[in-house]
Amino acid sequence: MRSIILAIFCLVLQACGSQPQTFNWADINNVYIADFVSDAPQQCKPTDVDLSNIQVKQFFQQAAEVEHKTLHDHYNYAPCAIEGTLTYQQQSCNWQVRAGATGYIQCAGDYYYFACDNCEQLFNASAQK
Amino acid sequence: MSTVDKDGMLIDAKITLKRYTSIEHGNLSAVKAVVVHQTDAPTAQHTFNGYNAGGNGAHFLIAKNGDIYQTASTQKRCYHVGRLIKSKCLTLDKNSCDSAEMAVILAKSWSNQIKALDAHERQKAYPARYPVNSDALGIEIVGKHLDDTQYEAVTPAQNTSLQWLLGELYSHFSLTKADIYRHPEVSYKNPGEAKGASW
Repeated sequence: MRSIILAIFCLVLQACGSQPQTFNWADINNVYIADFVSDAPQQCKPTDVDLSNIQVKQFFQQAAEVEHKTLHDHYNYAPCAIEGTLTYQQQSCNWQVRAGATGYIQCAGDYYYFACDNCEQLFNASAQK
Repeated sequence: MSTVDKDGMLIDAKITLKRYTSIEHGNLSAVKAVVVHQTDAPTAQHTFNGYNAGGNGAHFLIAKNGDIYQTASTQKRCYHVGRLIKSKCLTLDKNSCDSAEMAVILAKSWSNQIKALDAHERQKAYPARYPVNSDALGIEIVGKHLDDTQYEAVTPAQNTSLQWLLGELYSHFSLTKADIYRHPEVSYKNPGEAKGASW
């Protein structure tokens, strides 16, 4: 009986271990923008997502970490984005922020997805530049 | 050939009826189009578990092994398209767009532009615009997203079932191939969704 309980406990631990942990924005550093990409250059332009390095960090601070399915079901996928690199807990990671106020951070094989409901000011300010 | 019962369910040995009224939101007065999706879940059961809680969902689901489930009545509306639709004329034939109004819309920032495009498009009737929840059925194909632009490949069994199911829907609702859309064609979604679906 004891060995069964131990086995279940180990399985649960293993399952938990395979999930990326909740993202802690305070551990983000060295945010640098490297590029702008657009699949629809006439519709989605650099001015739609013209954030500074500091504003990108603010975006990830203000955004909520969400599952990809939530992103898919409830947010718009913009055809343009800025992207770059950052460090998170000493790891080098890639990030992307889309014009629809969504984004991700990718550290090694883990993707953390974000959506921001109160980032209008960041994006509107960039559109008015 | 399947039949449609009084509740809008397709009756055929190839379809398992597993209706979730929790994902039905009012009546669907006419079926004019079909939107093909991928679930972003690894198995059918994951999606069924989500359907129990209500919210978004589609009328049919095709499991990895090609099994077909009907999860909502074809007489009921499901939330599967998304709030904002893209502009069909802008995507398919720019010359058919109202150029003066379109120029004003396209000058807006992207987030304001997509709202204005949606409002502009919704004044049109299908098929001049893309389908919306109120006139389209949804088919979910089980498959998880891989990253920001890709989903798992659609299996051969899933494509075979999709083609059979669409054949039935063509007959029941007088649709043609031109009335079938991948989700990212219609609204602003991960461009890889349903990319491997063929019909």
